[in-house]
Amino acid sequence: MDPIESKQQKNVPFQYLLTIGIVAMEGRGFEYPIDTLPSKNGVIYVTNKSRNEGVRGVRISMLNLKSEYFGEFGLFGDQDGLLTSPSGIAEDQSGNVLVLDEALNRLTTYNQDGTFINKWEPSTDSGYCLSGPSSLTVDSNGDVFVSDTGNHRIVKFDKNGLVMSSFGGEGSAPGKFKYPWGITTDNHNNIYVSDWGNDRIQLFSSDGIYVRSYKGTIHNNYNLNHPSSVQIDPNGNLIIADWGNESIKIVSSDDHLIQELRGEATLSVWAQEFMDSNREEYDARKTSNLDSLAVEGDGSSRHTISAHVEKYFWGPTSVKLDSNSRLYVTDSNRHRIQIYEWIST
Amino acid sequence: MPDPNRDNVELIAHLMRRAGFGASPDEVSDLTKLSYHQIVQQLVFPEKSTWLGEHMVRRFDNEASGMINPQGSARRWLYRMITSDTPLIEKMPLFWHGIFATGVPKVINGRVLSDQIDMFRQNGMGRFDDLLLALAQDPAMIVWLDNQENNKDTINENWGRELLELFSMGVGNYTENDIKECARAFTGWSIGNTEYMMARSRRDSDWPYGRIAYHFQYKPADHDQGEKTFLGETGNFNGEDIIRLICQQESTARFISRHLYHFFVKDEPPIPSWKEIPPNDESAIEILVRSYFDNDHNISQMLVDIFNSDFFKSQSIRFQRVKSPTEFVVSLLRITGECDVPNRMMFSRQQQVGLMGQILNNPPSVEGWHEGAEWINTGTLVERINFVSEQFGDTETPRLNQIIREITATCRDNPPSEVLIQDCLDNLGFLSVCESTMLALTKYANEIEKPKQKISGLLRLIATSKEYQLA
Repeated sequence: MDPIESKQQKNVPFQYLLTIGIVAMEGRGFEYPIDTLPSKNGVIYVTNKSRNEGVRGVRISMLNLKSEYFGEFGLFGDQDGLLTSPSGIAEDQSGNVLVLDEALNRLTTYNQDGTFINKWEPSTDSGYCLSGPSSLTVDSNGDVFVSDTGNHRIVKFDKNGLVMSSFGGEGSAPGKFKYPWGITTDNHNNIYVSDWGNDRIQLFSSDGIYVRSYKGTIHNNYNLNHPSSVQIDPNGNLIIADWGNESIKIVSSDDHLIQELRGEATLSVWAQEFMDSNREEYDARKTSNLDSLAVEGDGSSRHTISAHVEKYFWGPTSVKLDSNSRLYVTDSNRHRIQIYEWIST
Repeated sequence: MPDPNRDNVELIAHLMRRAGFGASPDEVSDLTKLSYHQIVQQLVFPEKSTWLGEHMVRRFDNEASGMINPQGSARRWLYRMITSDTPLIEKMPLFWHGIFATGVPKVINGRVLSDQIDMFRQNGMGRFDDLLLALAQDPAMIVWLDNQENNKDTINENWGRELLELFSMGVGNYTENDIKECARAFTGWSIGNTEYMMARSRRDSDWPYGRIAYHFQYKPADHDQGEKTFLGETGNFNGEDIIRLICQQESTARFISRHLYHFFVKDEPPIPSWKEIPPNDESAIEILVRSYFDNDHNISQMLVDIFNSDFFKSQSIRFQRVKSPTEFVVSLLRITGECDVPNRMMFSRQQQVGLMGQILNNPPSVEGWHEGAEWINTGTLVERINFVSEQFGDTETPRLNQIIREITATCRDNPPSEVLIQDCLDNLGFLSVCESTMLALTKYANEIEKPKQKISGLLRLIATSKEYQLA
């Protein structure tokens, strides 16, 4: 048995619901999705980073929980409204969609149907020129916090895109970062940052003062390996995309592991339609054991194991919650979103 | 009068070119605090590294993680070579990839090819027996040589033949019957979910959720349990027995010794002619054969014996071995720092390695690449020159700016050209150049006035010189 499964408890906050997606370089499907926005209007927006070498596949996909596909915007390019390497996505208080581009080093705003509105691109002279921005969040005041990854800091913008301040800097001391990634705020506007290169989540007050870290030890039954994303559930627990360990960890605010998810993907609506029209592959698939743990226990890394076991997360780059507290895990290397229901406990 | 300190620096630089991808002046300076033997030990048996590179490339180049196509796999490996702080550990897979050549045309799944490179990294410096066993169970090799079609009722000899001819003993040291018996012993050595994986492979299918890595599966019902006679011994052999018998052979020891000499010491003639043409240095091969048997077929100890040998340290072999395209590109990118953080340029750089004649994960045949002087022709040389121009053309890149600042700082007050040239040569790995190259460099240095332009121009000229093409 997978050691993770033995740790899982019966009364857990999240339970697998369904999978959305299929690999596709254009149209319906995803190509290396990086972040997901389950918006208030019910549309799910997905940023597709695609492959680094090409122009195809870069886009924002629009769909809903029933796998109904509404189209795409933000295709490859460097002109206004286009994207080269989209990363984080969020919505502001007006429901506009904000998208970061880690290659163009800017933030682009769109309305809900994907029409370009504006771009935020701090100049070099301002001292806030972005470098590989990877994730963003909007607090209850409408202020926008951006993980300015290459500069190892968090940059705060007001709702109009004016830079207000920054905090962090490169290092491993409390309050410092190494290539920070996912960022979120809680109901009190406290800020949580996935300090990717330092294997920890750091908590800051709303004005950027360091409060504490979540790193995991043998005593609280978990460890983190290059976490990519963090969210806070309605009970105040941290939902952490433990990217390097290919899992999602639910950790209480007092730092104890509650649940660990390894991934339970099933065939999505789109995947099932593909199988139904490609019988040779489907028939062979049905006689296969895709849950084979043949490489588990031979010293292989979690990353390697996930390359072999299709249902597992492989490169979980983002966790997001919708208004019903459903959990959306962007399962990047598998080009899909795994969705879990929140069970109030 | 020879300067012993300079001699030591040049010896260390030589070791780092051959056992790694070159070393900067700062790295060489740090290494001079150790004895030569300690440096060798550190290269062959490095301490656990805190290097972030594997995570960096997976985060910033997602295709290098998911590997829908084989280029992502090659890019990941290239990045590892460019940034690794344990260079020999990264260089050994390059060595084995050239011998156990496996590639894209049949193994279209990049992740499976990457798993093979990882396997070389894990097993490539241990016992040769263990490496061959891992190779026999490696899914990329199984598919490359069709061993999933090697059934007890209808054998497929591909793997059995190449195991003996190209991977261990060499032509002339076994019979056609040995090949058949070898193939029988490896029946049932296959991959899991064979039908589904091959159905997807035939259609080059990424659907529904990207590539799934292959895993080895032994199928006892498809294994020929009968008695076999191999290399004069008879028994109810399985694949493990065959590998044990192969690794006991003198011909295997000579074969692997000559490969190691060819890669780390001096170019040998193309492998198909080894049967007719004796080694460059028969005594060196004898030393390595002895090391193989004295150390339980251990590759690491053979490497230690190579690097500590007089034939390796000799001036006569320095700058005599042509750098492969991968070595050439990696050595320069380690200097210029262009890809320290993975970025979109990695795609172009990987393509350029291919244009220079070495597409990683895509060797020209099961024999691998013909190395040595065959790396250089008019086309590939132009590619090398173009690459150098790109790397040293923009003096505003952070790393080149830093190199120029450092050279300027150590060469104040308008130094003589020869001092400036020597500093540039040291920055590119303590190169020694012939008289004609030195004359060309001096002429250039005397013609250009602006220091920044002069230094970047000198670096560009040196990296395109014939000496820099050699290790």
